[in-house]
Amino acid sequence: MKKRMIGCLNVILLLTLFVLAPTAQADETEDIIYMNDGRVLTGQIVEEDETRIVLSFVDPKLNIKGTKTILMSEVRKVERDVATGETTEETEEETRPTQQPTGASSDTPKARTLGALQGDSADESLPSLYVVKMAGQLGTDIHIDVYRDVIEDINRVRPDVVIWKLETRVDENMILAVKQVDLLEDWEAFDLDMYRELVDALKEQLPPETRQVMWVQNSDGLASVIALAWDEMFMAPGATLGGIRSIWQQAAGWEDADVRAKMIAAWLGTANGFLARGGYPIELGKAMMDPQHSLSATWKGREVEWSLDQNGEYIIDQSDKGTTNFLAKSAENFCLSDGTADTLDDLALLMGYREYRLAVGKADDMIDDYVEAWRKMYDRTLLWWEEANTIRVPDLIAALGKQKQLLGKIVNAMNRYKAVEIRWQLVPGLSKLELELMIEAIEQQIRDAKNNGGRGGGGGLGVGGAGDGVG
Amino acid sequence: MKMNQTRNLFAVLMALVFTATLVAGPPVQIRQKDGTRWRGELEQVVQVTFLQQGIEVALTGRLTKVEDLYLVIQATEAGTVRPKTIFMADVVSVKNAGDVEVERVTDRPNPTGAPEKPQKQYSANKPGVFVLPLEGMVGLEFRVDEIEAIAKEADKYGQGQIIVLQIKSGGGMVTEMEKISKSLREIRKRHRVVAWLQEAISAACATAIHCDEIYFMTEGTAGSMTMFAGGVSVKDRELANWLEVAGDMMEQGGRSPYIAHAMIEDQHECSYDKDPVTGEVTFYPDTSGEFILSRKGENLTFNSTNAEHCGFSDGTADTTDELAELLDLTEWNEISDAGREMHRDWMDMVEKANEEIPKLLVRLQMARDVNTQIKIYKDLIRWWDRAPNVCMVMGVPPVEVLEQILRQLR
Repeated sequence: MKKRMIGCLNVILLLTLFVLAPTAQADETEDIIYMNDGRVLTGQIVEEDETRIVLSFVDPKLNIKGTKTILMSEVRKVERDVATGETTEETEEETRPTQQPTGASSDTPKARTLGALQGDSADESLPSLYVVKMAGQLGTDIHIDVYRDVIEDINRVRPDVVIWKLETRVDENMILAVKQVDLLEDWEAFDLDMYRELVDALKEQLPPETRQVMWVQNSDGLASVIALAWDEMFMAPGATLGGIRSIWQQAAGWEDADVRAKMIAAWLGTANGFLARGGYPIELGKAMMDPQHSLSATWKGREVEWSLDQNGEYIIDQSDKGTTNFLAKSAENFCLSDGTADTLDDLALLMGYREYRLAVGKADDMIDDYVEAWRKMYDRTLLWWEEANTIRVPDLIAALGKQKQLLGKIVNAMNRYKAVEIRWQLVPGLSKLELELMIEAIEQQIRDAKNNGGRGGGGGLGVGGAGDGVG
Repeated sequence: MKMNQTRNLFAVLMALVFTATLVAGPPVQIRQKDGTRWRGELEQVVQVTFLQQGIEVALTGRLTKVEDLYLVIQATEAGTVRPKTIFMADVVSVKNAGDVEVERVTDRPNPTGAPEKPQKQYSANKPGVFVLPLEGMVGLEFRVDEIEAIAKEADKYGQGQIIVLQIKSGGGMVTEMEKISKSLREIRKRHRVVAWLQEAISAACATAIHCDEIYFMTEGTAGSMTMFAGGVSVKDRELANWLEVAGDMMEQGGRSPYIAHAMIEDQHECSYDKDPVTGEVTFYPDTSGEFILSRKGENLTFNSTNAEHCGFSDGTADTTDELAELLDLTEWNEISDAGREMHRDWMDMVEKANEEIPKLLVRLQMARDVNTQIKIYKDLIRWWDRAPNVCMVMGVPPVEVLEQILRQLR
């Protein structure tokens, strides 16, 4: 079924290219949207109201037209019908906060050319740095299952420092892309308990004397909550930290005002528990999660005092419709991050090391193998599912037996990889328990068929409850 | 001359012996479990190891009476000095106080033959700590049954033990919370009950505020006590009643009732001032205080920092050592892991019930022959016995209905 679906989509993609190619040229004028977080988007505004703008754009790499929905609360300024290529402000590659902090430079932090020196890995006189990636989809690629093995390896290697290199991307506004697989990737498992278990394991199962540092390459979505559980955090120059509005969204749908307030407070409180571990104030967490809060900051020496209003020296978020996100530069300016580092040499220097060595471990290989393995397994389970739905065997009992076997393989795959079980809840949208109950139903059908002495029949066999069967 | 000196020396020695005898008390001897006898004197400080409800207990104190059938020692028990009567039949051993060493406490013979777990020495001079993890839904995984069981376990060691409720829950049923409330009020009369919070939302928070003391883990959170059903919060009299009850619970724990109100209803505000010199905190039912906890439209949920700052929590601890310090204990004397075991056992039971009951219900739907149906109904009745909360939540028909159906089938 998936192959057929992808086949259809490929056709649509080709048609789209064919139909739109003549128009996927640059228009003579364009609309420009300047975002609060410094990004600059160009395209044609096709729809807008007081809460949102729908922008049609051409992806420069694929030359495919797409649309993006942008919340008005995240927009700083709109310019319409500007001659193509003539922006009045910095382009998308340059980052700039909403307002300039006093004395701060407006340039994107340049990568330092002189960082720490990487020495020989065998030189035990140098501090050892073990870099471990946390990349991909949160809840599947980034899952406690693989990190248990990583922890074991770290304890074997015993480095001086562990650097968690975090990179996740979730599109909050969900670009309505042509390829449906984006639906699977632009998503994350909403399970704070699971992430708390992950953070607990990483923090508590390594020697307390091992320095742990979070190095954010990019963090959209709930990964930001995880990142903020570490008090020592650095960011890469192009990184963003934010996108945790989903926590508020989880609770904000209740109709009753009291129940809604309760749920929002409960979810925010639980998420803020991560920030508390990192020593970050709850005001920051609230502003990053709840769009109804504004955020301002006041410097008291080297400390920053945050408040959920606009009374501070510097207003970071004045909107009551959008949540606060940080770029590397602004995170550094407001002492949220301990610095901006492009390379490991830069990072080591910022951490106070003039020279260091790389700890030799198996973590990244373990993680790569795990990601490849569970994704392959997931693909296979979809094939088994398709096969279970289209069995054409003349013998009913044999057909049911085959169906049961295929569903059993899917359940085993879920037992082996929790990530598969999680993904299945999205596509095709079934839980492990539901599959197990299907197997129960099939077993009963087999028993009934044996008791009735029936082995005949033909045609297709779909998976379902009692009553489904051969025509 | 020499004779006189000798006579004088002898007299002095006799006088010393006589005096020493007067001061020390009459000699006594006590038969020990191994058949040997301890010999000493009354008023001597000794450590007596004896059996109390099958468990060996050691008590150090002054031996004040020894009779054929019993002895009495004056000892400190649960913080108070008082006489303790111990029957000779229960005495295991007696040692002079200077000879005391840490011994292994042996349990009753283990019928399974499995290796015995070393247990901590219980000393009646130090209160014991009993930890009960409480996780999951109040009324399902998180029950009054385990709370009462841990209290019974603590009772075996005498009054004044410390029961730590380690809470990680998003809330649950009001009916269960009411049972817990009643139970904790009684338990607190006998023991020091402490809440240690990782997550205590709604009914779990209502449990915590019954405790003598509340401690947070750094990531801890507590609040959001709005009562609701079917997506609608309680109103009018029910709301007024809950505000009053929760406010009282807060006050009994030494906390402001305004906190409870702000945790329940979004129109209640709460703020406080904190005297920078004395640290005294004054709460207000509005936003006039310097530190605002909850505004209109919001519901109050604490994190560890603001909970400690305003005095809602008595401190923040992430490990048992840190908690011991906050509890003013010289050491973490967890003398029994009964609480942790009970919790594990019950959580395993709930997990198993969650897996098996749905399968039984499906099998029941599809079962054709009577014998299979009878077996399934019997299994469901057994589950009601083992995990009634789970059956209730899953909507399994009540036992009476199942039994009636069974009778019909038979």
